[in-house]
Amino acid sequence: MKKGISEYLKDYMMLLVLVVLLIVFSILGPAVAGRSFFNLKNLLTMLNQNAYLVILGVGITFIMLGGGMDLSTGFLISTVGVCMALLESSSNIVVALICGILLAVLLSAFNGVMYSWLQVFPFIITLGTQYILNGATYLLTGGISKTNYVSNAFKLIGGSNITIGSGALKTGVLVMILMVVIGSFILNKTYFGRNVYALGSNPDAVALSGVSVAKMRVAIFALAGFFFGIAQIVNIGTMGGAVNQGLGIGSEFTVMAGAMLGGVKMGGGGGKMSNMVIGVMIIGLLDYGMTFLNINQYWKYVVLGIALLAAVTMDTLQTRAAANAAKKVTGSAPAAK
Amino acid sequence: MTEKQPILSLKDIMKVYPGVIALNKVSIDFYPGEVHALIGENGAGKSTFIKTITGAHAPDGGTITVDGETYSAMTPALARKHGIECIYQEFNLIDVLSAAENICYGERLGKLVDQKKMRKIAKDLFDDFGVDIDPDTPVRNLTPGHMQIVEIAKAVSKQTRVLILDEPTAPLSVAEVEILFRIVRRLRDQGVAIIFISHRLDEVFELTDRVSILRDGEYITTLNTKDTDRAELIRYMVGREMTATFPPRNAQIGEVALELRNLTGNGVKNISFQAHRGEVLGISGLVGAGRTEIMKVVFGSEKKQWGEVLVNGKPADIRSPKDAMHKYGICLIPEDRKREGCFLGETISWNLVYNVLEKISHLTVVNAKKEAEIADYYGKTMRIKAPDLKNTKVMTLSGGNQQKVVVGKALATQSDIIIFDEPTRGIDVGAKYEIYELINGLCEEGKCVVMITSDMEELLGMSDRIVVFGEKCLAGELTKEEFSQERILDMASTSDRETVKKEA
Repeated sequence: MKKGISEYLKDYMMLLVLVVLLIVFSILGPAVAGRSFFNLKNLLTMLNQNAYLVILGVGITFIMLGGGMDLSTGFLISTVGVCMALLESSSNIVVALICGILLAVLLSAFNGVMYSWLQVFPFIITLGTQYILNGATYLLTGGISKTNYVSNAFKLIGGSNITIGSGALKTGVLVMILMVVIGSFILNKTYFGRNVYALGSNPDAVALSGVSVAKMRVAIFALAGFFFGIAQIVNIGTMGGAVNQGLGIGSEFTVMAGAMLGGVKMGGGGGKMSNMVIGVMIIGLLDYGMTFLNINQYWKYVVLGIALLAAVTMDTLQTRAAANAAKKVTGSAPAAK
Repeated sequence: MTEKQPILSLKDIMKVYPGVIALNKVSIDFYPGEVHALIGENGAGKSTFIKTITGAHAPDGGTITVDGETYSAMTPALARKHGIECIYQEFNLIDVLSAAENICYGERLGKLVDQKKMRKIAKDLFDDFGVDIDPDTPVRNLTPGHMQIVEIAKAVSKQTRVLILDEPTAPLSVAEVEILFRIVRRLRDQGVAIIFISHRLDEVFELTDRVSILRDGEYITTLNTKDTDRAELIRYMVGREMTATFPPRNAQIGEVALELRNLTGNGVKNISFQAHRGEVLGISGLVGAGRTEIMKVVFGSEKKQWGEVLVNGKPADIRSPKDAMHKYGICLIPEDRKREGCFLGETISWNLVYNVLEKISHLTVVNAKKEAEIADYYGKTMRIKAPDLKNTKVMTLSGGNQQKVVVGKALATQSDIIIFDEPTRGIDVGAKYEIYELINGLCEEGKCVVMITSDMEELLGMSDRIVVFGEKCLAGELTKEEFSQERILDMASTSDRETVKKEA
């Protein structure tokens, strides 16, 4: 089937928005802040800052495409972060990394198990685990806001610098690229990935084809947990090795907003890994660009909110138009006598 | 009764859907103080007719006269204004509210919610009906029979003058039916016009004064119930000419491929039949008879309570659709293709290979070449008309082509026993014929086809044998020589209640 211009426009709309934003900031940068915005250093910094969010996004995308959602991500990675720091200080880095990732997988899988068992929309389940995890993290650290530091070796996994020209690329970005590639491969090339889409698109048909919907849901959350764990390792590295209870909290909203902005549908039914990457990057660019222009940070929230609502509005209107077009019948009513 | 003025009069009602005339110039008058049965087979147009009265649908032609006022279409508000209330098969109650609150829902009894007054209204109505329901019980704690009485009470509390009951007895126990009938007679005596839709003919004779028959959207006739009998009604309901043609089949009927022995589950009891290789076994019954339900048990998507499924003479332990498809070679083409049959948002090839993904994957990675081959093969055998298989999404296809995708997706499992549930519902004549040819092809290959259908012509034209379902049980079996529309309908419309009475 040949695609019309409008089809291409729809597919690459958000990429276009990203490019336009980049141009706008590049023009406004020198004009408002008196400094050049569009240079390698700024772009690399931006990438470094957003690497862990994109990795989280890979996990969230699996959950969203499969028809679910997750409010607990941020709290989950904060728990995992604190545990890794504590484990490293009490044993060694290998134990810390392996147990950290395993813990992320288990905690996320727990969400999946509850979802499968109770069969209620995961909003309420992940809201519950969010509270539990928040409390658990404070209990682990003794109730006071305490910062733990990881070793240099740990820090270097996501936070070592690779000098490129005037800027520096952090290894976290390389990990990010690897994770996006792995995520895309699973999603597009394996039958597990097919079933993720299938589950978000039509769980009844999945059940009738003999795939266990319950097992699929647990598996999706567990897989997402793996990406969450990796994301926190990168996050700790880029943050310079300091870990406290708050590290990562709130990221779930940024990532979900980014995924939705990019075109991943809440509740399943479509979207690609690249949609999420672009969406998260748009949010990152808005954030970074507006800070660069010295715009009051509260305005950032307003702009971000508007962008999200605009994206949802556009998407809904398109879906509605398509649905209405499909309902139209050709011909005319029979003449009454 | 004829000297009375009709309270509700429908004239020349037309309703056209794409490709189907749902109602063709149907005219029926309803009088106050009568119970008027509306009967017809599945798809005769009963529901559409009711929806025209309640204002859920606007007819494409004709007029509706209520209380001497003539409209070209009703609206729900207008219907309410004239005191027309309908109780559907699915209850329309708010299950967390009490019986009294439901009855008074939407009425303003003063500035604030007046629990005492509501309770009194409900209590009076229940007393009037002679039933013992506590007005304070939340509706979700009531039995289906009591829920229905709450529905009726709700309707009656609004000065109802036309009460429509759509298959009201289906969810009720025998005792509850008696209570319902008592209430209906009482309302009739108070001058309410009652439209009673039921496929249980014995109930029509027991309760109604007049009976109107619809067939394929045509109005057939209205009779005084006491002047007619069961045989005559059935004759009117089925008196259709067989016009469709079916492709010839040249298949050898072989050994038994699928056998059910007292299979029970999903609400259906003790179903036994055999289906042979090379044969089309038709499964007939009215909507809600449990045909789809038992097939889901066979397919493993619903749990079995007791009984046995035998495949090729050996007991089959089917616990999931995966077992059915990959261990025992049974596939199912579900009736609701959009909800259960396919993934509308995905492409044709995506759908066609979905059931066999594991087989064409190596270490979970899908082999793109094999995928294309399978999609290509079934795209061709099914004659799916689309620009290309790889990029065309299923939702952009016509109903017929969508159905071919669903069938192809099932056949890709290379099953020997193929269960079709309403194989041609909602698709055009050309695509229907292609599906019939395909079914013949399967039989000629020696496969066993089980076909649930509500389309009488298709049933008689395609089946080698027919199994008829009553209400959640087996009603009988007919060989080709015994096929007749009358016999099938007679078997299918015998209710449990009748059986219980006969036994008593």
